[in-house]
Amino acid sequence: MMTDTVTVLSHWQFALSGLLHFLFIPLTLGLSLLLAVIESFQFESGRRDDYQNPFGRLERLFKLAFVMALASRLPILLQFGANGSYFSHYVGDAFALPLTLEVLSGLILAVLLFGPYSLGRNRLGKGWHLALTWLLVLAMHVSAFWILLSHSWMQYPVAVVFNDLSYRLELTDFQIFIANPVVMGKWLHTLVSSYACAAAAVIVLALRNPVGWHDARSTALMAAITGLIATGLTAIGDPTPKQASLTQSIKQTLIEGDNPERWLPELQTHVRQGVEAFRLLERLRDDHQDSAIRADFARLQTNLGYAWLVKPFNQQIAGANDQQIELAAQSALPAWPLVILWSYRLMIAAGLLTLVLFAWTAWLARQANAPSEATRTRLTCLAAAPWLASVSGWLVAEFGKQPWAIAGLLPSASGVSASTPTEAGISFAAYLLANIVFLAIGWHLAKALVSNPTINTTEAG
Amino acid sequence: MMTTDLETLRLLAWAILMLATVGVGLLEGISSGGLALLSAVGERRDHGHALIRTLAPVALLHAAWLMLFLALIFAAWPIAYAVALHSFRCVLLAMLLLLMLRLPLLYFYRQLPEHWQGHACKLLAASGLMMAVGFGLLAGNVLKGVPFHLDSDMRVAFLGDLMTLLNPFAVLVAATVLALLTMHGASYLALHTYGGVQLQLRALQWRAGIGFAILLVLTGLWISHLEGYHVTSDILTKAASNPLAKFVKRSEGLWLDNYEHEPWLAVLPTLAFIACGLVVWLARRGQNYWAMLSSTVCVTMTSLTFGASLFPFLLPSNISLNSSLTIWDSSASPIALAVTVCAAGVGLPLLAILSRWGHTGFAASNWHDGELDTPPQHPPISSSTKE
Repeated sequence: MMTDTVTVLSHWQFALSGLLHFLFIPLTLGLSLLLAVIESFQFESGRRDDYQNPFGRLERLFKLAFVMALASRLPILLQFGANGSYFSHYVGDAFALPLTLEVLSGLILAVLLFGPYSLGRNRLGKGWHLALTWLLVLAMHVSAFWILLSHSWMQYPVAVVFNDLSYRLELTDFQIFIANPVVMGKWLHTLVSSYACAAAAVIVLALRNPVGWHDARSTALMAAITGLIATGLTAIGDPTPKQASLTQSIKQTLIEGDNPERWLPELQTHVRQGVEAFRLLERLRDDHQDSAIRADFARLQTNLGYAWLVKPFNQQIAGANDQQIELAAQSALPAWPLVILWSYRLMIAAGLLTLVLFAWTAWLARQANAPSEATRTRLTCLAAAPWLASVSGWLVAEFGKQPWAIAGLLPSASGVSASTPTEAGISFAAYLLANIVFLAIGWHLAKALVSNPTINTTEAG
Repeated sequence: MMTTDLETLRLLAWAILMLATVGVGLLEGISSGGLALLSAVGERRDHGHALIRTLAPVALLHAAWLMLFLALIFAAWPIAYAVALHSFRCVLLAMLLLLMLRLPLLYFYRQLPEHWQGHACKLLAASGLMMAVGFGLLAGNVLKGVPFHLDSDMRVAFLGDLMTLLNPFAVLVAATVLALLTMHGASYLALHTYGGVQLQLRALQWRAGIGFAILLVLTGLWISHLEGYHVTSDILTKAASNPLAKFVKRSEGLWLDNYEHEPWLAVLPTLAFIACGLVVWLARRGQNYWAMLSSTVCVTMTSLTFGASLFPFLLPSNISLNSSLTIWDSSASPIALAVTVCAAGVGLPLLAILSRWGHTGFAASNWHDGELDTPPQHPPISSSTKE
């Protein structure tokens, strides 16, 4: 077990990388669909001039978000191995598979299509460009599915079994794995919240349209309607906390503001069975052939993850006493219950504000007069609401999963690499510095691309 | 049935890993090698810009191939991924953070304010240099052996530090890889640029080629005396993955074992050497297309030589020999491996073809959108830049 400092720094480093990536992903995903819809409208109606200016700036924003999202992905790939080497070994067999399928089927394809999409608008005919845009949307949505399959599996793991020879969890059935009951709901929930984030960004651009409100009205109306539908659909919610698993039940209890300690007896039972599974595992490692031990282990091995919770209280898990088992069970409850409770409430409040944003914009877009500067400022502030809702939802999901990296199977602290606090500190500082520079570059580019009409983004470099 | 298949799956996964290694060498090699040249070419601002404009439209694709490579290792060899990333984290941290900054700076270079462009140019050059040197350092340390240990729970302990990774052999390999990638980057850039910058690149191309040839010979000589690794116990090709279930010995010259058992493998380094010679000769004759083709062969053969020498090792440990990772004892489970092999077996060749299209179809159009037949107009070439 790593020292607390190393564990905390590793967690913060991962959270930092995740948050940075999360800033750009909803925008990229949502804008891709909105741009495809607008481009289709232009194609059919020939009313390109209505949209041209906001559309052009939207496209620039999309290009920037795409590049930033891809770039911010790199440190995440590094994190799993560098800071979570035991995590990578212990669950990599199942966890890494969707990530690889994502790169193969979505990410590289999206990057390949992004080149001609971004640079080939004048070279390709309207029809080819539109087809390319929709293919790009498809690639990005496929990509999101695989990523969310990994996330779903972390929250609600299925189709894995512990292999005592390899000392890790191994995939038992790919069909069950891919049909994780959580994934479709999570995917749709993430997609619609991304559309809401993108629609909010479109509204801000329309409100700040330098050519005037009249030219941007139809774009704003389209974004507001998309946003209203998307926000309405987010109300269906992420199905994860409603799953019949102990970790999710505890999360749901905390979301409802109830006392999670009522789960302690059940947690203690799991820890006891986990310790028993660990004892059997030790005997099994001495004698691989004993079928009776193997059968007992097979019965109890789903609780093995709970045995790792004992390690901070007794390094020799097999010798854990009742008090240590109680302490381990206590540690299985999320350490920050108030963060979960208030993040959830913040998510709901931000969701309601998002509805206000879209409804208000839709009403304004139907009016002939341009909104006042004060109204534009209010709406611009409200445009942060969908992001706030998304980030709050992410916090509920991640804090609600604690202390687990993989719910019920591997505690976060156990997955961390063996490092010294100095190494972890240097690594964290390097990440922090690089992320600040990265954000500064992104911020400057966003301002330049959106506000400077003379910039040509049909050429790279 | 499954255990019979596991051996084949592991071999196929290794072949796919080699393909991905070649892909990364060829593609990310262009970006890294090309950007490393910025410090040499970028003295004239317009020359530096020409390099950036040529690399910008393909740099995202190159980074995506690097991600594919990492993801493939993670899926097919989870513990190798864990050990490699944990052990090399200092070097990888610098490489990947610079790469992260590189992508937006390169793609939106002209959108940066004037006073940022100079700094961006330096950062881009540093990123190219760091990537090329980093690849070499990693390769050198893999050949030398990495100071890691696996305990009975398979927890990884890296027992070295940054200075351990900067050993003389790894530094020599880093210099070799730097020369190779700058030659490759210059070959690609010379093919897509015109005028003075092209002449400058050609000069760098053959110089880097000669440098690579000399360093390749030196590295080969050192490897023949370097301590290699050999599995002394029975190799259980179909057993569950457990790196600790074998015995490994280390002895001088063992990395040449595979060439003794399969003499035809000597074709790989020989072809690398010949292709390098061809790059130098063709670059001097100004035959850019054929020079690029030879450079591609050179990078491919060098990558395959590296893989063939190591086989069946993925990551040897020089502190705890039996902890060394081979393709037989560190793979994913049969189901995960089968899915990975099937997906990559179909996807990788397809992506390779599409990547080729990505380079020919749109990289060139970045110069003059809609005017593919017209070479870009550079400012007049001063006599001082002519070779």
